[in-house]
Amino acid sequence: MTYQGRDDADDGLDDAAVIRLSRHEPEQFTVLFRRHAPHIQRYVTRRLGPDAADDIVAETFLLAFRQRERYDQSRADARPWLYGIATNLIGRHRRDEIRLYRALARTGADPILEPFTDRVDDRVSASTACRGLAATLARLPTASRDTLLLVAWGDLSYDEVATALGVPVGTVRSRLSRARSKLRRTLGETPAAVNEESPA
Amino acid sequence: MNEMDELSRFRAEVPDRGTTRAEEIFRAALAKDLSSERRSASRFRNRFRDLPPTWRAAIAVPLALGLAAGVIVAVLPSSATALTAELLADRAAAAALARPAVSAGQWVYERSENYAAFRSSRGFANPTFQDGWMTADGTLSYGAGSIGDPIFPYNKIGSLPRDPAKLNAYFVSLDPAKTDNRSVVEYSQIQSMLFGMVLPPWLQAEMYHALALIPTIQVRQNVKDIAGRAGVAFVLPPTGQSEKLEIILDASDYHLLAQGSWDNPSTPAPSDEDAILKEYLVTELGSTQPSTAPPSAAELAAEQITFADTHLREPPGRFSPGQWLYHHLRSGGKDQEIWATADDAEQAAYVNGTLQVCKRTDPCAASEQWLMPAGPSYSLVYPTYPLLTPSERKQLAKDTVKQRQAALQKLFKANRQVPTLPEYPRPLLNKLNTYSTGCANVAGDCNAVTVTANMLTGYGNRPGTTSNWFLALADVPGVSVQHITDAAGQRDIEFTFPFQDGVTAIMVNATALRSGTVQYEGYVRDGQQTLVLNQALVSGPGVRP
Repeated sequence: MTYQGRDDADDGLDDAAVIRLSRHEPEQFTVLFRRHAPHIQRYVTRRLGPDAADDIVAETFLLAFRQRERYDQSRADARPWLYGIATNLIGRHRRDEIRLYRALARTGADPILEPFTDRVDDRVSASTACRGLAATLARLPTASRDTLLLVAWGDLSYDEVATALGVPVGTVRSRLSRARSKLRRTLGETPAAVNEESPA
Repeated sequence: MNEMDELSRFRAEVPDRGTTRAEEIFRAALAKDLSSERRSASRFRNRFRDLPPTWRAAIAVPLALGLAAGVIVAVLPSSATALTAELLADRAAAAALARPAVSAGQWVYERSENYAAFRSSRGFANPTFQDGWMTADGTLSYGAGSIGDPIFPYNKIGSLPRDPAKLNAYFVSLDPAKTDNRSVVEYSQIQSMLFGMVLPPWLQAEMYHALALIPTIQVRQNVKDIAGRAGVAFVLPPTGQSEKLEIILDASDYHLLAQGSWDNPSTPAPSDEDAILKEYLVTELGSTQPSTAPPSAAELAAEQITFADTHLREPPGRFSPGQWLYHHLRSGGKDQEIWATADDAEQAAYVNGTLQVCKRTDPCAASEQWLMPAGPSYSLVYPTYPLLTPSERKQLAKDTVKQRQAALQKLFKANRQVPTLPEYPRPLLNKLNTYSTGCANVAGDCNAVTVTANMLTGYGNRPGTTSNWFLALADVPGVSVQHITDAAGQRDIEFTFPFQDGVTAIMVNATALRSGTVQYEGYVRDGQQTLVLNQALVSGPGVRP
């Protein structure tokens, strides 16, 4: 053990301990932001694009801050909680999200990636596989899409997705298996695209 | 490649743009949230988790005892009846109704105690004690400032439904999230209003009935609160949205004693508990005397200092022991510039234009005028608490929850064993009296007063710690307080002690105090003022700020 002065909670405390600390020292909540915001930002950006992501990430942490009193202290990792809040907020932009998938499916240009690239040819480079994925994602029920993307993009386990969405694990499994079979069908229709995407 | 891999690669080329903008938005919103939290009485707030100040129907406890007794007898059931939540609610409500209402402008004083199992890991005293004042209409004001936004607007209290079930339904309708467990919402709202506001008796009574209507609510009997008082509690079992929570009422007269919460529902005692130790009407803000007996001027001044100290918006950072401070002192018309480390283990001054630096352990130490000639070591006043090393931290991240808890418990225990100065006035004075300063009136706390002046002058201090010292000074027998203009022309509040030798007075800047900051100005020894004209952190010896 060392002896030193330190004001930050970021010294090996788990998320639950940081949240508990933030009840007395609200500023410590920013530790949670620094830990998890980059991942959540990426997840939201992939669903709604960079501009909406900034707002949603900020709002996610603000809502989390306001609900910190009710955080389940038995959960050392706050990611499921935060992803759950972010996913709820994304739900408010459901129409935008679907519109973006449809635009990609229709034109082959991904409006989400557009702000990140200057080159015109990059914009139109989306593979047939991506177009198929986008078309399927646009058609999925919201609950299935949330489940699928929390696993694929949020890197959450089934248990964690269940926590994030407040549903039983069994529900996560069944939603996921239905969504995956729809995706498989899409990709099966475009074998050429699969090869093109995976040169190895 | 299966469909999940395909999906993982989809839009994976989204670059990391960083979270700077999101963080800006978040921090701005957070600052707004925090400033409204702070405005609604910061010092209580942080002790009561997310809840607002620990104010509720505020009655002198003795008064409540006396008045409630008669009514309670009427509702006491025959001996062997099991205590249900309903029955407890009946009794608590009857007791509440027997208490007088507090009228809007009246000041209520409350002293409370907090114990938090996790807190000691960060070097906080545990338990902590706090004093607070609030008016019955929810306006907390000190000097000219006014403070707003209680958890529930006071002007809406009159229109709350006068029916417990409707009250609960109303609280649920207030919940912005709409996703939370109903019981948790109802319980939290009632708890925060009972502990956070001064409520009319009818509403308190109704809230106890409303608590009993929560389907999962339980009663725990033979409870002791952290202050050791016998109680009986409403308990809300843990859910996915909330830890196990309880409200403890006094076992004999059912006034509010404490609120607790559990990190682990199976442990016998809560991991965090707030107890109301004293609560009664006082004549004015800052007073701890029941409204019948006015406080002494010294007590009021010390409380004013404590109040300002703990309300510092931006408390100065901590000094580490080896940091250099510049001191500009004036004594008997002579100015002196001294550089000293925060722990006064090293000093420097210009002698005939040459900077001379001397350590306490150096041969020159004997001839040096140390700012801290006698008193507790800096490490006793500001102990450093053990923290995890980077490798321990890394290990902790890999550990299971159980291992992690065990490691943190070990750390908490180590922290508890670090010696420090007593917090309460009398024990603190007794401890400071053990350092000999050569003064005569030892029984009258002359050593403690001189040592306090030494610490104020000689150490790099933090607010919160020093305010304990002023509360102790107000307890020195024969202390008086007067307004003076010091030799540097400052308007000061002077604590004057009835000694013939040693330090006989300690000064605090009166103008600064009126505007809410505490600025120590100096002391009087052998009839002569020593004034601190400037004290500032500098980069090293010989460097002026």
